Amino acid sequence: VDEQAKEDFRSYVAARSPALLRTAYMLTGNRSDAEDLLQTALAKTYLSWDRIRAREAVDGYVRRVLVNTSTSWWRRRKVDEVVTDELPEPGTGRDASADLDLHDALWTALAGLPKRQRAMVVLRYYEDLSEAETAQVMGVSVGTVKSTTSRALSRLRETTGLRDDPRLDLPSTELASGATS
Amino acid sequence: MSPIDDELRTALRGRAHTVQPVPDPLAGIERRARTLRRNRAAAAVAGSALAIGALAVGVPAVLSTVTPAPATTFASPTAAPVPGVSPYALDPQAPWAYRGDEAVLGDGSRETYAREYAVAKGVAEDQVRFVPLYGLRDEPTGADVLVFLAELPGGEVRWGVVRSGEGGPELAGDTVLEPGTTALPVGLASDEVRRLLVVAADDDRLRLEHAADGTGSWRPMASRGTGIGITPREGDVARDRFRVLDPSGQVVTDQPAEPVIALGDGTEGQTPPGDDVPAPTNVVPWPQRGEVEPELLEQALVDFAEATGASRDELGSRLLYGGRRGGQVLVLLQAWSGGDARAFAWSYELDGGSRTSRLYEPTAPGPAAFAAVFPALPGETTDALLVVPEPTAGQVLYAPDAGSEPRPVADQGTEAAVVIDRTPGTSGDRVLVLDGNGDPDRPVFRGTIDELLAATAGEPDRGAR
Repeated sequence: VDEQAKEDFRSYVAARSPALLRTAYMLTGNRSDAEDLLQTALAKTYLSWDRIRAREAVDGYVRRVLVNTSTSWWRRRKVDEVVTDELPEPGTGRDASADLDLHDALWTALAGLPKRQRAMVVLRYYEDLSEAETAQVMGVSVGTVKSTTSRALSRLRETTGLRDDPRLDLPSTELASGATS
Repeated sequence: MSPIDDELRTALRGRAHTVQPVPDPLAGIERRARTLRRNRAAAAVAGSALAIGALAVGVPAVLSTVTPAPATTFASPTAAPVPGVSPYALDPQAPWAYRGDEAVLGDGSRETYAREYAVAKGVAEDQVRFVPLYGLRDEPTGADVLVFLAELPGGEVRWGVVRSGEGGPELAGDTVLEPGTTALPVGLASDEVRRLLVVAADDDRLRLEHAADGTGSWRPMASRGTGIGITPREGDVARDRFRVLDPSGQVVTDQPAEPVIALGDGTEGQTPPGDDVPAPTNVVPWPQRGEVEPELLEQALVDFAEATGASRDELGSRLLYGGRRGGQVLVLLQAWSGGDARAFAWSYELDGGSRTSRLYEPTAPGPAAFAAVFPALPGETTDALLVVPEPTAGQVLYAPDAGSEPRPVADQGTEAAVVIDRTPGTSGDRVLVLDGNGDPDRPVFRGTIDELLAATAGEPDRGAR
């Protein structure tokens, strides 16, 4: 990496690491693992920096490395989540404390998902990627994204114990898909 | 848009907003890049002799200009270690509470570990006091790791690490517990970066910190429970240190970040009898994917012995893959007896009991992947194509014919091994095995199935029996 490229990389990291750390946090569930994951992803990106011609595509590359690294089967890490004492921001409207409980429950349930399901949920509902974009990042078909996400949502509803909570109503198509997958 | 969509988005964004940026995001990236490059280079060397057109994992030497970490003098601790016997020392008579995954001790595992440890030490089970201290379950493999304390007859006190294995508990190591010991450093095998696990007293006010490369910059270790810390070991680890601080900031211990007991790479896998036969150099040190019932594995080895004219008792073996596809058990292994290891694909029909097998030529050094085709069961229309890539590989893509673009295999199966439905008699189909980054431009293997099979193939199917 020549000096200019190294400077580009440093600038990229400085500008984008806060957002990437948040994504890593979504994928891992705790701060320490998120930092570890992001450091690995950025190190891998650094090794490939010369080959990433389109700088506007770097985010997508790093996101793919983040997801691949976090879901790698050989990543011999125990997912014993460290309970954080950080509380999410309360929602607006309705009963704020009830929303807080719901969001805590969803966050906890997310930690119990298999890594690939969790990654798809993060890409779809945190990164707001389309099904096609998620499929591209995950390297799977759109159909797999649909079915896996549907299974993940069903499992979230189950494990939160909020299957009957109207706030988590699924549209009929998702229910059907989840039931058959 | 459905309600759960909205609630998920709100929940995730609420959490995300609590994440504060890293003060110095560049710190550590170059060091980790050096570690990755070194490990990849080692993997590339191991795979360099592959003679089937596979693309070795290559990493451009882009870090040749990376500035080494400054050789600064290690910072002095803020306070001297507590003199005398620390209240945070591991007292054999009042040992630390068990922390970690309760499942590690469940289903009689605790008793099994204690019994096997007694056997390993050559004493009666009831003469050993076995005290679990910390347990973790390795998610992908389901293997357990247990750090324990044990008192032997005569009062000798030791601590050690045991790991679950297919063949029963495996003692990774044990050592005398020195009086006043306040931390138990254990080396954990990992995918790309080895890690140091530190087990300290069960006091949630303790702080565990790590400083890399002798820079004197202490950082909190990732917590794995009360008094439990974990941190990567990378770069110039010779001067790494870790320390434990008490609630007042006094140093409980400050010592080199070297494991006293280190686990292997976790690739021992399912080891049937004959494990003591020396392994030739062409045996791949890959983790076992999936598993198979011991009696079926034994039958596969008996069939291997028959196919090669070897004595079963003189066979060494390593299971590469064990799994099921419908009513069929699929096995891929390497076995040897006084010469190079050969791959052996073996299947068993659960209903009818028929078996098929295929013996391959001696494995070429450093394969990127193994492949095997298992004939379709009666009533089925497709063969099963099994692809078992090297452990650091990423996704597997498959093109059913020469004119199709490779597509990701929908179900990546057991630990990156895939089973693909393949039309009998197909030729020209291709497979692409991506690297761990999922980079399509840098596959670890790209070629036809025939080429992949040629990595190990040579002899025709023996057919169903």
